[in-house]
Amino acid sequence: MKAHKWVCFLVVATLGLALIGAGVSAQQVLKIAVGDLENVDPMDLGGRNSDVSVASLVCDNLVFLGKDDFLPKPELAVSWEAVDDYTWVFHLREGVMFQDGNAVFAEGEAREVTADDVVYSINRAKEVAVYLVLGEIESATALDRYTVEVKTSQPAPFLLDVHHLASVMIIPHEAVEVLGDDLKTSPIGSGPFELQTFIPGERAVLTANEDSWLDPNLDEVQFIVIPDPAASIIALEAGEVDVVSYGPADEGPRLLDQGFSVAGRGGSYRGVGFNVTTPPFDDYRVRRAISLALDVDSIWKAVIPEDFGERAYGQVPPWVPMGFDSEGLMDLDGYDQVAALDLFAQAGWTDSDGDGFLDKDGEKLSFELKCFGGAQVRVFTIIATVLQQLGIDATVLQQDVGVWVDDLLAGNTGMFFDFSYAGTTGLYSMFHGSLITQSNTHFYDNPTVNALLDEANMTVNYAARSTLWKAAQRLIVKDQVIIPLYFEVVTTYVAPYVKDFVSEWGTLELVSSENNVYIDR
Amino acid sequence: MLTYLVRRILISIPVLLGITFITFALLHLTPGDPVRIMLATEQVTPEVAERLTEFYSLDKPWYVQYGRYLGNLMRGDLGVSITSRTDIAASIANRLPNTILLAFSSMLLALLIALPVGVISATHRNSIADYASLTASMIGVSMPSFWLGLLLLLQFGLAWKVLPIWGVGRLSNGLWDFISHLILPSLTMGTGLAALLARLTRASVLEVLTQDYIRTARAKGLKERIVLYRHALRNAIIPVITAAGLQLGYLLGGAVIVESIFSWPGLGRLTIQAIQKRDLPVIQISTLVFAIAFVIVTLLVDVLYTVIDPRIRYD
Repeated sequence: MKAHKWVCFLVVATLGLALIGAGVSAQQVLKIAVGDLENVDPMDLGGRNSDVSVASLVCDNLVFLGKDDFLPKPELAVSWEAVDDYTWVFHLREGVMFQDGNAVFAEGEAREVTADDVVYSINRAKEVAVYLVLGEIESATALDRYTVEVKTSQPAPFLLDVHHLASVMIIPHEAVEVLGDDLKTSPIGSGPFELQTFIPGERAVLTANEDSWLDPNLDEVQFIVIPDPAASIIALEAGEVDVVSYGPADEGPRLLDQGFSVAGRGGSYRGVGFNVTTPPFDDYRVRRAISLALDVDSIWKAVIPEDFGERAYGQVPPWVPMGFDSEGLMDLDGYDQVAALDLFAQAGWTDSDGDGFLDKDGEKLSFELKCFGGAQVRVFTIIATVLQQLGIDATVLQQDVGVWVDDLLAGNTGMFFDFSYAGTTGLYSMFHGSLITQSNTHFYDNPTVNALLDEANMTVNYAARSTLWKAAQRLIVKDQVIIPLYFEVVTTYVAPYVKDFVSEWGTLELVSSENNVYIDR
Repeated sequence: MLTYLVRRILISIPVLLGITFITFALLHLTPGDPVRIMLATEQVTPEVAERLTEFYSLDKPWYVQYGRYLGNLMRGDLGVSITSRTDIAASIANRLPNTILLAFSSMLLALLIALPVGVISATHRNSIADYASLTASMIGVSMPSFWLGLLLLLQFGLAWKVLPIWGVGRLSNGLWDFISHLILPSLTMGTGLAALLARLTRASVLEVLTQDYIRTARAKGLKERIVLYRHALRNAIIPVITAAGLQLGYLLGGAVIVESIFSWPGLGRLTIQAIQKRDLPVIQISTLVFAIAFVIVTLLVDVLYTVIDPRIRYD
């Protein structure tokens, strides 16, 4: 009888444990494949995405960028306001503690994050973080224990943008003083995860910070370096990793069929650029004719799987809602090869000698489409083929990236593959007249556009800035300085049992006010 | 012998200096610098680009840059990577042992396969074994390493799940962890090498077996095993050692493709990433390391000759 009771007890206990364990894994370990890991000093991340992801789990920023609208959301700062065009005030979350049990703070001896730490971090970033744009910040002051005032030398509408203040990670001064160069491999912050192991070129292992003000579901996060894209997909399919950052887009449809998901967020603008000072592209009619000759929808869909890109009508992408204006720019788009030939004729380009190619004053319409690799070559091959059918001697010139860059900056271009990361600074960098021979590789100088961009850069009010930005973009597209093709979304592949994953945009948020990643096998 | 070694080391110094100059010149003649590439691809803004250019002296005349580079080198300062901002000496110190491990294990695997196969092929000329080894050698030499590597990954890593797909194993995690991570990359690198060395071994042994002293040894009634291993092989192996030594130098240069496919954190991968990003300081130092490795390996091969064939002396 007693034995019978014990058996029943054991059966019930086992069933109970199984029920508790079912659905959510006992050990929540997330493995992310990345291209490389080099240096996770929060002040020296240099735009290296993987290193930023690791450091952003260890440290908090003032804000993070929302998963759907890409707008700043509270993190260390619970609220903020622009007091005037030159002054911002941030109110900090109380009770946030730096991590302890490390070389900087012994177990139980961590201290609270205060306004002084934010001021220190901003000042240090201004001095050391060469890859961040913080020049507009004139001063940072702690008004009290939890309030920071930031003054700018000029109106700074992009202050809370990625690569600006939003990218500054808050660290204790003790970490710099104690760790020195070791900050590159063992940073300290107040983030939801603590870095346990960092081997450059190999892996990083982080464990949940039990004292974090957030409550991560994950127990452990591992970043594993798998530089070869094919090998990273093999590792994903074999279950050796759960997430692949920046995976190859070509694998997308197959992986989607297998149940994997794509957590793409942010990406790059892709399009055709013209050097508007180089004949024949100095003639608007030629640029417009080339644009009308191309069925852009067919071209980009032939190169990029549909779920991994989006048609572009302007340079500003959907994840920069301030300037994204597809609806407003659609009327400038068009596909009409008859109209294209008509415009060429108006510009003086006709097939006067009957050889099948357009010519003018005895010279054939002939040019090279310059690019440097990857999908660009496929896109330009399609474009060149279409143009040849119209009677234009267009050939693709694939260059080494260094040669391509030198040609771009020297203006030794006519028609080229034009791209940039499509952030808020793209429009200004690519089209402002003052940046010719720098990032304005179109050699485009329109005083009206320059004035609109200058005014937008000084306009803190979001709605007003958006209007100016869109107006500038419309003029640029109307001038046919570019032929927008598509936005290529960053492809992060996620295993089906990983829930609530949001891919990085600036920082990687595995736990925030908007998500809390967990494994559900 | 000591005099010879010292002389070889002294001669190496101007050779290495010449290599630093040629590397530097080639890099600076090549279009594009890392900051301009980052600017044109909008990874940095114009103001950041200006700061970086100044910081890395990229706007200085080439002779100033070369002088600074040499001066720092003499002081043991290998510099800082432009893209990762990490100490290059530390990066190389972390990765070089992994490259050495992979190179030597691949070479060992190749020799373990190539020597017996080559000898059997030579002693059983025109037999099925000979034809089989010739065919296998041709396939081995023809197979691209990236194709073989991915094939092995797919089969052993994904389909059968018996071997790890990425990274380097640690002895601290157990012997199997260490060995299992080494198998696929060594097999990938060693296969082509084994094919090459097997062919060379066969040809070399065949040539030696036709020599008069071999006929004399057989005429004296020595067992074939002794004729082959004590007399023939010692002479036949010299060209094989030369080839293996040269190949080892190339392997130490880092098998870029294999290191990328298997996520092997070696010097080859570091170098190719530096080349893609035009990280000039890393490229310069990596090239110098490869050159030094080659010098050391060729010196060791020369010393090994004297061990195998006592008639060879460097006086």
